[in-house]
Amino acid sequence: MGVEVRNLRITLGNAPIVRGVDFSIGQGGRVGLIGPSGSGKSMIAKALLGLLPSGARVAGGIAMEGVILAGSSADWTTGGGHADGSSDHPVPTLADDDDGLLLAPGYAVSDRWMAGLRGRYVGTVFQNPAAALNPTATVGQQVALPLKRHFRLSRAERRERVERMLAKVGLDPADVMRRYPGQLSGGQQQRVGIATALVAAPRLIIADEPTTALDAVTQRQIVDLLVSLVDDAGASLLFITHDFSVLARATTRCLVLDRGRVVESGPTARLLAEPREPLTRRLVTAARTLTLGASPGGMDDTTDFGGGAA
Amino acid sequence: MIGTSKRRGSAVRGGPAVCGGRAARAAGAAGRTLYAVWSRGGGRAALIVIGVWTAVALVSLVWTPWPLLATDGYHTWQAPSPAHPLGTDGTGADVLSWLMAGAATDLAIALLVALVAAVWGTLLIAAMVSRHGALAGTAVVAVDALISIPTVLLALILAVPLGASVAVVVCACGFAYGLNLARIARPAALLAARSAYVESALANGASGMGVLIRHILPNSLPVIAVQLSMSAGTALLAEAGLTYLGVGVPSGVPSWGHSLTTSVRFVTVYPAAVLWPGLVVTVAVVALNLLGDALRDATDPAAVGSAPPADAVEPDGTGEVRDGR
Repeated sequence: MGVEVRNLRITLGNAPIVRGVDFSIGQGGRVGLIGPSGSGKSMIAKALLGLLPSGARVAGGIAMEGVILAGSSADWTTGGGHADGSSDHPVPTLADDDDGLLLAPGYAVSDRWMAGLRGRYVGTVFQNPAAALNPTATVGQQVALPLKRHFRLSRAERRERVERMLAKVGLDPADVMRRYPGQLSGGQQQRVGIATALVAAPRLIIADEPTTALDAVTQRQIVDLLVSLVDDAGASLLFITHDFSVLARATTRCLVLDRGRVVESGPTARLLAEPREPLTRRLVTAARTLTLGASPGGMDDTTDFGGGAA
Repeated sequence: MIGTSKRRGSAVRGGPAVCGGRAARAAGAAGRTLYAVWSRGGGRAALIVIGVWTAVALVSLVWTPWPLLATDGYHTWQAPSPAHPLGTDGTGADVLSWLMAGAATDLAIALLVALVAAVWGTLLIAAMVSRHGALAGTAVVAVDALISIPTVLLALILAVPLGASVAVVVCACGFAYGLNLARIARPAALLAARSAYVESALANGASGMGVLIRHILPNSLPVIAVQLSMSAGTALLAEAGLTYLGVGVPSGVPSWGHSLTTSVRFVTVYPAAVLWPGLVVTVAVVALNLLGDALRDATDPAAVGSAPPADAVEPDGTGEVRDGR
């Protein structure tokens, strides 16, 4: 799914959270959003999902596969030009003959329409799997949720698809289907989260710090799993994190966000090799230090940075 | 919660069979909850009392030791005897027969009040935790305002069009206890509504109603279960009170409140006459409160999540029960 975001601005109350962000994700593209806490990364994800908290106002344009979800005509005619990275990847203009439903500019789609999008066309993996899974629902019920909502399947068909998805994320369906989230380890919980996000074969996966709550070894397994599943499905990935070491494995391009603005963007490998902005440099250094500090034999990890991104 | 107590009563007999094997795991959530209640000392006592109560109520529909209208002017206020195990009342009617028949009325009142409170309270909770700020704010203010109306006043007003009837008790209590339920369950429901798992469910396509039913209510169930079973108990006390005031169960219809009302005037002369209905109401209310406590523990998401199902069938719980009894 092609995703285009033009001059996105989000204010919460009177405080600007996101101040003009442009980016696009091509079909099958894997793009990272990196920045320190409070830089507006998660708000951008919520805007894409139409799940901003009440009191938040969004301006600018969001389009998925040629369908404009939000934005005024000005955002689509004047072009971006706010982020210095936009020159790297010119935002394609929306043509009338684009696939999908083209809504009139300025038209904000309804909540119901957005709800139809969530889980079906966009899947989301969340930060803290222990909190993001309903403690009173079994693993089978959690993973079946998008299928229940979006497809008319018989019980057996749904069960079969859930079991296949659980096997794909490396869990034993016979073992975990009837378990509750509290009975699983953190890594297993996040595998359930990934299964839920991917079970309806969405075209875009938003991963909002999916590895932050996990240990280093599990982090790597989860990222590799996510990337391989996304690639297999031919879906696009928007990966949000504050950790460059994870981003290197997960994405090919990334944007560095600081206080609601994109300060640098480009191929992940280049940003890691020669970060230009001070913030990017700080994040890269932090990732290297943390990785080296975490494992004495971690020289492999640093070389992995380049390897994973290339 | 109380709405399912009849089913619970029958499933109790299935309990020992369940604890034998791994069938507990295969049983549905209701069965597991029931089993968890049964394996707690207070919960088991409550289920036994409610089971006996239900059985007596059902039996009374077809048989009582004496016909309710069999009065005997020569043998009023009799002490317990083989013919009248609990004695007779001021008309010479059999006290046990009237209490048995009252069990049916009061069981119906407890169930109906819990049902009305559950439906009305759930609607209010849904409004109070809505993502629409205006609706949520209005609902909170409305509940705070309506909760200040005394139940008795409400019943007196309802009695004007309805007369003294079971409907007055059910409507007044259901309305008031629904408000209580909403106010008490709101923090838990709000916590669930703003939780990461609700956000995650919404992001993966859940609708507002789906989130309410599958995420918010199950995670508020411990609070709701306690409040509803206590409401059912309080409804019995309210029935007695309202019947005494003349706006509850009409005279001629057997109920525990009715038995109390007819005997309480003679408490100084025949204290034993008040003892039996008072005792029955007390035991029933205590049983419902114990059921609430056990349900809270049994439906606690933390317990559901962390304790493996196998724990439920280990002798741990039952041993504790035996020690406790």
